[in-house]
Amino acid sequence: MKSEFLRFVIKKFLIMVLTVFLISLAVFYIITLPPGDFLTNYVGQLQAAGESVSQETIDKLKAVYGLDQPFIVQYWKWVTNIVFHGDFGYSFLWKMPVTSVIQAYIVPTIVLSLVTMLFTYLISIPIGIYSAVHQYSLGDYLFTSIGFIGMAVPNFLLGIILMFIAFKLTGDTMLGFFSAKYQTAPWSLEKFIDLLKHCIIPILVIGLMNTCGLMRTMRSQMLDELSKNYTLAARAKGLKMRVIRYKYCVRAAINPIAASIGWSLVNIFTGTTIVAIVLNLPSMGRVMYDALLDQDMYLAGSWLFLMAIMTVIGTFLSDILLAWLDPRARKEYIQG
Amino acid sequence: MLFQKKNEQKRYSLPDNVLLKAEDLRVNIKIDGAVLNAVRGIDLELKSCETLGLVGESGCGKSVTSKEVIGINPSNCSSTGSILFKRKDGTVLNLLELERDGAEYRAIRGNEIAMIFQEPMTAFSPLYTIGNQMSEIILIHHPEATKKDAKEKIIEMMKLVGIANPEIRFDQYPHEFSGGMLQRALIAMMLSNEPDLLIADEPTTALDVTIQAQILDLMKRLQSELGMSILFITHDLGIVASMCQRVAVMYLGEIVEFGSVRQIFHNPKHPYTGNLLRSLPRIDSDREEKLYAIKGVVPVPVDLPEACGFHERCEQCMEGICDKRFPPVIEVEPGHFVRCALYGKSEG
Ligand SMILES: Nc1ncnc2c1ncn2[C@@H]1O[C@H](COP(=O)(O)OP(=O)(O)OP(=O)(O)O)[C@@H](O)[C@H]1O
Ligand code: SF4
Ligand SMILES: [Mg+2]
Repeated sequence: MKSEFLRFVIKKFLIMVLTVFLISLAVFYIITLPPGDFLTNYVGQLQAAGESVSQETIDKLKAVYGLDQPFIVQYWKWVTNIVFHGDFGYSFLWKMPVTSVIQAYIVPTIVLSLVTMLFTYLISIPIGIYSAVHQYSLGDYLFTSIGFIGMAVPNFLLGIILMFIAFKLTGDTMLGFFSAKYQTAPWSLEKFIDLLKHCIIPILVIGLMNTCGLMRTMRSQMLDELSKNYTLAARAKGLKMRVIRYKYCVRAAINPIAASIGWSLVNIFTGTTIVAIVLNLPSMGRVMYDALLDQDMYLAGSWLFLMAIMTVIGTFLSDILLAWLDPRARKEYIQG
Repeated sequence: MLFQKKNEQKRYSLPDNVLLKAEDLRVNIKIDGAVLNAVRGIDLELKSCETLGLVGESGCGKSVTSKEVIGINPSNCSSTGSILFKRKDGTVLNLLELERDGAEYRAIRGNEIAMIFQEPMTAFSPLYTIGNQMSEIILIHHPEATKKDAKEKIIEMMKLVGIANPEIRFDQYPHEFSGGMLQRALIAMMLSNEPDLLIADEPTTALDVTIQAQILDLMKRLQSELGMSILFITHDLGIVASMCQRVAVMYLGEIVEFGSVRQIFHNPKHPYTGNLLRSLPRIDSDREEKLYAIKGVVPVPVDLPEACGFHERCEQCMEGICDKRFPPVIEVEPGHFVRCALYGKSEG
């Protein structure tokens, strides 16, 4: 069983690597899609705006990215630059390496996404369990109502309401990731706390809908499990209700949710875009949006590539998690 | 009741050879504001080491009755009457007085009363190994036992019920077992604490005929080896004839006839029992003879009138009598009881 599982993991991993390779080809194709090379476009744009670009800069960029060479060579340069130098290319919009753009925005985005996810799961799963175990109780009705309202309110509206409340209470709309004084400060504990504070509204806005949805899912999954025959058999052998609930029912009810963690991570990553725009957050989603509008292809391509990799990794994690949690899925996966 | 102290609790007693006695047991189920009278005042008596058959059509309340004995009906069920049970130490309890999932009831379940189910495939959780789930029954009732002790005992039980390669089977998951093997595993688990009472709720209905016969043989063998009473629920009268000493025929939440297998099969008194027997396929019968089907369907037990529960379907229904009052229970011969107005009319 153990070695079979390992083989399964390795197989999935190899498939993942292959997928990433194919995606990188597609992404690079998209990057080179616009007619002419970017450099020419870029220089043309700059010159049209009356600025001058030194020939030295142009030559340097050309050599580094292999811009005057065939697709496959360019691709090879692009990949090796990423893999060996962590260099994702140059953002012509930001006038700095893509890596710097990503670094400046990806940390807050990842913090926001992870904390949102944590928040979503930590709240929805216990409430879902509580609601199911105390079905039709006052608490169940209360949470169910909140859940419906939460799913019905559009999240941009919620964002505006919360910003208004925050402004009334603190005199700050909590826009952006940082207060003015930490905007450019180096990382410190205070800056991190400031970031978390500014994350509250985005988390509520991004997380509420997911939380309410997950709460309903967890409740119905749990009710389903509680009414299954194995709970009768477990009671008939003298097992405590508490053990039946947590050892058997919760574990079974959580399975599909746990297996979707990988995918929800990606969802939250992309789902932040609209909210980021409303809340004026310079998160990666927002940066991507601007990059696409301005045809900043290296930045857009890199972002697309990162998202695709995240999706593939998320799927990989979900598959492994599901196979690990559910012996039946394990059997199917491993044999099929 | 409320002000009674524990040591003032009513003392119950049962005759020497009686293990379980239910009196006027009623179970009501609340659903969507309506109340379903699933069990409507039944009396049952189970002797030590006997197998009592509980037969009747689908929906007559067999499962609700049996689950009430072991206390695992859902929380929308409420019950009245009494179920007296003699514990291993000889004390007699009224099971209905125990808290449903309280410590006292749990100590009895799986230890003194055990139960096996119709669908062995769903009686185990798919997420844990069979060994893990089977061991629990040892670990719950013997806090001093280690996991290793439990495993040893379970493997011994698996051998007893004829599961080959128990050491390998122990670490397998339910989906790696066939239905028949799972039923064996369930039986092995439920009997590992040598309970005095085994409730078997249609344990072979979901299995192939050949496997059915094997499981029935196994149960008979284990009963004689371990010495226990079995409450055998089925709608298959053929199985009753081969397994049971006494039979209770249930209809619409009531026991309409009760007696020894001989009495019920050779001298059925209640029209419903007669119909059930006529609907039984007989190997020795003429092929041309059509199987008898009882007309109509079992009514839903909600707001039932004060009448014989069978009167709408009964061919011998007497207007003005059967549909006007509950027929009394009459002992037509020693140990043979019938609830039908055809008998003992003089009383009315
Ligand atoms: N949990 C429940 N909720 C609502 N109604 C129920 C519930 N359990 C049983 N009933 C009803 O109670 C009645 C008796 O059901 P029960 O399961 O005891 O029948 P049964 O004799 O075991 O039938 P079968 O042969 O189909 O197993 C039926 O009318 C059934 O619909
Ligand atoms: S009491 Fe009347 S209706 Fe009921 S079974 Fe007997 S004869 Fe039939
Ligand atoms: Mg049943």
